[in-house]
Amino acid sequence: MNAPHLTRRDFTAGLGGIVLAFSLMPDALTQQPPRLPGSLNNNRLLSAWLAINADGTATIFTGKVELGQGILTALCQIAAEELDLPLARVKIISGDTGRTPNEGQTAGSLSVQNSGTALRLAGAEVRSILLDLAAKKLGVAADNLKVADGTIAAADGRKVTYGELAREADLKREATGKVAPKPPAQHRVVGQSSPRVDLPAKVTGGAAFATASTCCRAGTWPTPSGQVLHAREDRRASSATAIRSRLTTYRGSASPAT
Amino acid sequence: MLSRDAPLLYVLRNDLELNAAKFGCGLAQCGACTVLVDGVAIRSCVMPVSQVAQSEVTTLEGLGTIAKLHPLQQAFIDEQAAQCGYCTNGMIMTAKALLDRNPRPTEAQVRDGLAGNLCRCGTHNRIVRAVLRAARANGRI
Ligand code: FES
Ligand code: FES
Repeated sequence: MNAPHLTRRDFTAGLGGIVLAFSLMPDALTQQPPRLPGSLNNNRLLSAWLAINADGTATIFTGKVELGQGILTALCQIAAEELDLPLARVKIISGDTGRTPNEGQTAGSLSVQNSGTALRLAGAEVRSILLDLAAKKLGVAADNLKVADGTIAAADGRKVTYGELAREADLKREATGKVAPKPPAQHRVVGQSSPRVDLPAKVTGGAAFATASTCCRAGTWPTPSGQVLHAREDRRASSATAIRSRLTTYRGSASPAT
Repeated sequence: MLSRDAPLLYVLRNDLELNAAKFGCGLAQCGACTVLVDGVAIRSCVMPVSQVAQSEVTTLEGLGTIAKLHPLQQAFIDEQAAQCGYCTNGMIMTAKALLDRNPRPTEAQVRDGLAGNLCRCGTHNRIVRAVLRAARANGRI
């Protein structure tokens, strides 16, 4: 046999070389996608965060849930700001495990930092996608277009709305995280006090809490942050509405069985 | 099958899916489960359903809807008088009974009237302001 002679020193030095080679490997070679800010890193599709609807509204999705900290309102404000949409035209879906990005827990004052950052960047990127579509449609450079309240206008007065572009806007693509969000000096919605979007349901007994879901009866358990709510919640909500319309005042004489 | 002893709260929530009334303590100590029985604010977590068989039970759902808010509900929104909102049902229902008895309460009377309703988030001052606002708006139905 002609085995190479390997001293302990050679062996250890070789190991060092290997370790160094791995730790210096650039992202492209290790095939790691580039790190994106906030929760965008683990939920990279723009469509995971935002949908533009044909009626000119936007639906945004968050894995964070409302615990009284006002997060649903804050996230709507952030998205409305970047999209140049009025707050009233942004609807939010939260903590529905079938539809929303998986953002782990709602804890540690991290919701604006992680979910807010993702929505801010995704919002800016979706706005620029819509601008590009409008530029093509109107035959004008995107730089010469102005956006206000979800309407994109050329200098000559021609317009196209987000709603009209909704079908063409392909958001099933990875966020780049490269479209710069608005500088704070231009903020009009963020930084203002907005009425909480969750209060109307809370003052009328609407579906605002995990305990109002019927999923527990079907044998699923809510997580402490209430993220188990599934499609079933809709069923509950509609049946509750149906009951409410028949029975806003419950007469106890509908007698309990004994 | 309902037991005669079933707390009204359980019947409202589990059987009628009227989820406005909340289970907080289950011991008549927090007020989250408050409903009106013949106009009187009671704690539904300790009220056997059989005792209200001949009574009119009004829950928060019965006060108003998002499209047509009761003045108290409107005032709670105007004053943004909730954080988590878990106590809100009890606050509004207790305030409703209070304003029905005394349409023009002083601030001290409102504080006194709501003293038995706990708010873990610390929204009390806004809640008091909301009730006074509703009183000014003549919040009676
Ligand atoms: S749940 Fe009834 S008083 Fe607390
Ligand atoms: S608002 Fe949370 S308990 Fe009162």
